[in-house]
Amino acid sequence: MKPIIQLDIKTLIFPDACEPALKNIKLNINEGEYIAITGGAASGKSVLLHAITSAAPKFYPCVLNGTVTVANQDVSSIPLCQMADYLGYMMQEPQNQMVNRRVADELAFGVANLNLSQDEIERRVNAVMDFLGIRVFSDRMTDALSGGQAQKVVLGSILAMKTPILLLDQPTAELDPKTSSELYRHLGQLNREKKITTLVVMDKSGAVLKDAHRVLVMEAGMVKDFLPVDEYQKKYGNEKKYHRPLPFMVDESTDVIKLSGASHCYKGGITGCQPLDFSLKKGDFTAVIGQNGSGKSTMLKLIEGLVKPSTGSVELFGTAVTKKNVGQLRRRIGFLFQNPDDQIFCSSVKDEISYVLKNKNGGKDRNKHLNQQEQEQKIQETLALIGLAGLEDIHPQRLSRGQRQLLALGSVVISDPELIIADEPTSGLNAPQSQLVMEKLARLSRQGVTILLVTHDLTEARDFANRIVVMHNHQLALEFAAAKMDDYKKDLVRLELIEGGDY
Amino acid sequence: MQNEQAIGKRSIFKTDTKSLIGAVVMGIVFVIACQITGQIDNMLPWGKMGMYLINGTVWAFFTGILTLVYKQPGGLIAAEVEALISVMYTPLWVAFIFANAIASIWVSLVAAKYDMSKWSHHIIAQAGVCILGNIIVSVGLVLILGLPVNVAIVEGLILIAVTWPLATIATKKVYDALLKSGMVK
Amino acid sequence: MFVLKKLDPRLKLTWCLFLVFTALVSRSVILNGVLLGLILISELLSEKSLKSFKMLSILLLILSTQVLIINLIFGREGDLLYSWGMLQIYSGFVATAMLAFLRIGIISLSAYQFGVHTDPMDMAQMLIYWHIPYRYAMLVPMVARFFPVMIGEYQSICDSQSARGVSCDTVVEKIRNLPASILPLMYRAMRISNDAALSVELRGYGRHPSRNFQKKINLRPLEGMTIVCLIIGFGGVLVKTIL
Repeated sequence: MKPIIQLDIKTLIFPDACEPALKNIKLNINEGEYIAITGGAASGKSVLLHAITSAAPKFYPCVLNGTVTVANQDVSSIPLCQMADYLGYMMQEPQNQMVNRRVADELAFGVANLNLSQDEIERRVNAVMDFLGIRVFSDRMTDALSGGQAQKVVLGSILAMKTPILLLDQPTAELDPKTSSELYRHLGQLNREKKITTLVVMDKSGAVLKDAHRVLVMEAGMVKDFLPVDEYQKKYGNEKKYHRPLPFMVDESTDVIKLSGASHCYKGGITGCQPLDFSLKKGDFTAVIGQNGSGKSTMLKLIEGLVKPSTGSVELFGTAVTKKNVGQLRRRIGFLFQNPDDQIFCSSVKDEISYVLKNKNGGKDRNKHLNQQEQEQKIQETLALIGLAGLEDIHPQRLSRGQRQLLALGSVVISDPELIIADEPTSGLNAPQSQLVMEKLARLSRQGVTILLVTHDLTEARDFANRIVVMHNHQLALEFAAAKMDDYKKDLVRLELIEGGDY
Repeated sequence: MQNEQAIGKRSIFKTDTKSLIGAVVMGIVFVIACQITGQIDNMLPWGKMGMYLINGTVWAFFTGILTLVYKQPGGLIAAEVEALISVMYTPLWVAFIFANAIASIWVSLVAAKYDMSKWSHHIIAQAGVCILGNIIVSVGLVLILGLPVNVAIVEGLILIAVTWPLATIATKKVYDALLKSGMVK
Repeated sequence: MFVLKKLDPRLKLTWCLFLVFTALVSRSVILNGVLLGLILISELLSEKSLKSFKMLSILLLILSTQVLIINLIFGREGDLLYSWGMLQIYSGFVATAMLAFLRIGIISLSAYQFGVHTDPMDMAQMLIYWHIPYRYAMLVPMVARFFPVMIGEYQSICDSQSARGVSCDTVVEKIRNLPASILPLMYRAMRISNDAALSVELRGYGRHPSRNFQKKINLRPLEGMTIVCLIIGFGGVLVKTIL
């Protein structure tokens, strides 16, 4: 097999950075190979793809010492917009990559840029729609698509350009397990049937390994290993997993959250969730799982008081939630959201972490007795807890996505909440980053904080939670002890959460 | 793709795809911010009299900051996105087309002469934005809304007096924060 | 059948500009009334309802009321009708407010009609036809695409901030906490636009000086003649106003 991508990078360094993002990388990728890329936080996985596309240094200014060759062409001499002749690139968030309102226009976007004839554009778009099975929503608006549908449209737009190489950066990080399996099936088929060379930055599920040929392991900007999949699994497959060290101290007599027949219907009669009967006891760690669009987010909005129940009632800490008391009740809760960027806005890590504290103090909270010195001590303790000590003066937008999620967690725990509601807090993070966030939550759980976790990751739910609740078709479909998840595999397949028994 | 030219001491042009699309998306943020502040102003007594002080401050701030970040034609694109989308809620969109364009060009001229590191640079930039912008909007108030000329002049003067210092402070603070964040070079 | 969406964007733009400029130039209440009527009739013929104007009409009515009150208090045209201390009411306020109401209606509704019934891809093609480079023309569909995306982002930022205790119940709180909702939106916008820009460049945006489209716009002879008639009509209004 002849190499299609050749990398010989001595260093790649970004301005203001002390260490190179990539160093001493010398590797060849052969035509038709399917490569999975993995590694810890800031190990250089995404930068490696940017170097191949030549986005680093052409789009992200940096100094590259070395050469990158794609199809025997030195990429430094090819303008970025001409790289479309050689490769297609897909990122994590599909909604950020679509630039047209109609699905059909988006699918035609790339081919239309190549100035092909109208007939050829139509022929290619039709072929891609049939291959991915997306013809049914070709006339829909792109902002109305689910995560899985949007990701298929982005992939379709790239495939229509018929590039010999596909680069994908955690393409399924925000998808539920079933939808991400579907996407990987398409990628596998493309690699086998059309011999498309594929490089995928692996997400924490590792589902890509079913079809991949080799695994590239990155560490601190260097290649640590480049192994066939079976050897990789032998070497890295048995890395230590988290195990619950203690039984959960659940106070069965006290309800922290109680939904009694609570439902919500959005404008236009769209069902958010059917009547739900759910309670979360003090000290419990419950994980809510379900497909995209199963009603998990609406359930959380009901609990957070962001939407009113259409029927039934919602109680927090034994008090019915009303417009008047919702602010007071929220002060006892910490909310950790899927996207940390929805809340981060201060100019330094320290300001961000102390924002809630100041806000709550201003709001006549129980923390108001904290003086300047005590506040400072609390900030330092929290920074140490989330592993960001020493970074307090840095602007939060300079942190990695995982670090920003930890910062969001820090701004939650600093006010000593009695209950933490975490909405897919590890979505978009890689395995080591997810592990870090989840271990912090587990530590808080051990300290007696009640936790409600919403997640797509079944392994995460099994390893960290005490109880699992499954949502399906806008209602609660199943509930079981997390440790007994293996006994419920058939039910999870029936509820379309897993395919063929793999988490 | 980087196709920059220099005018005066510093380049005021940036025509790469990143700046063009950034200006479009930020133009939408500009619209959203104007909508929110318009609603806040409507709750206040002076807002009920048609004097949009907070909205005016946010308008001047965004016109300034977006031109500093995206240069030209990004600044103009963002400003015109705001003017054209404002069709959805105000007949003054005709005046905004001119006011936004002239204010954005003024900021570019100031940024071409100064490095925008000092308060005085931002004071000069915002002076032009607030004075020129409010003159054009006042003309719109007379021609489109049929307001008496004396009312339009008084409203314009009050708006300039309030928005100029506030928008200057906001622009300087946020511009420095954006530089610190590393998202703007 | 008359369907606004199917008309060529150049005709729709000319119609919109004809209405706006005529409303600005003419001080005739009758002519402005006829033009406003034409907008409403064309909308009714095409869409069979005026539903799309509902929200904007409410805003315009509120604005018109403000204009009426300001003219009532500060207007000095016509004869003095009533005087009480500093408050003086002149007869001209009704005519001025009426003309302003019609102008506001025409300027807003005509532009809104153009925006709602013109496909952003058609607008882009229209600009390309006028020799605007397609890298700039294609920004129009991008505005249409990212508008709902950014509204969604803003909503989730507000939900997130409100859940973490940043309250926006009173006007003072709304003003004080404005940075908590606007700054994250700005940072998100920068990240989104960076991703979008990289994605389009790697899909060949700017690869060639021109690009093709799946469906092309086409100006029919009747539409061309209508454009000429509208330009002549505006010229007539202009001459009549000057004379």
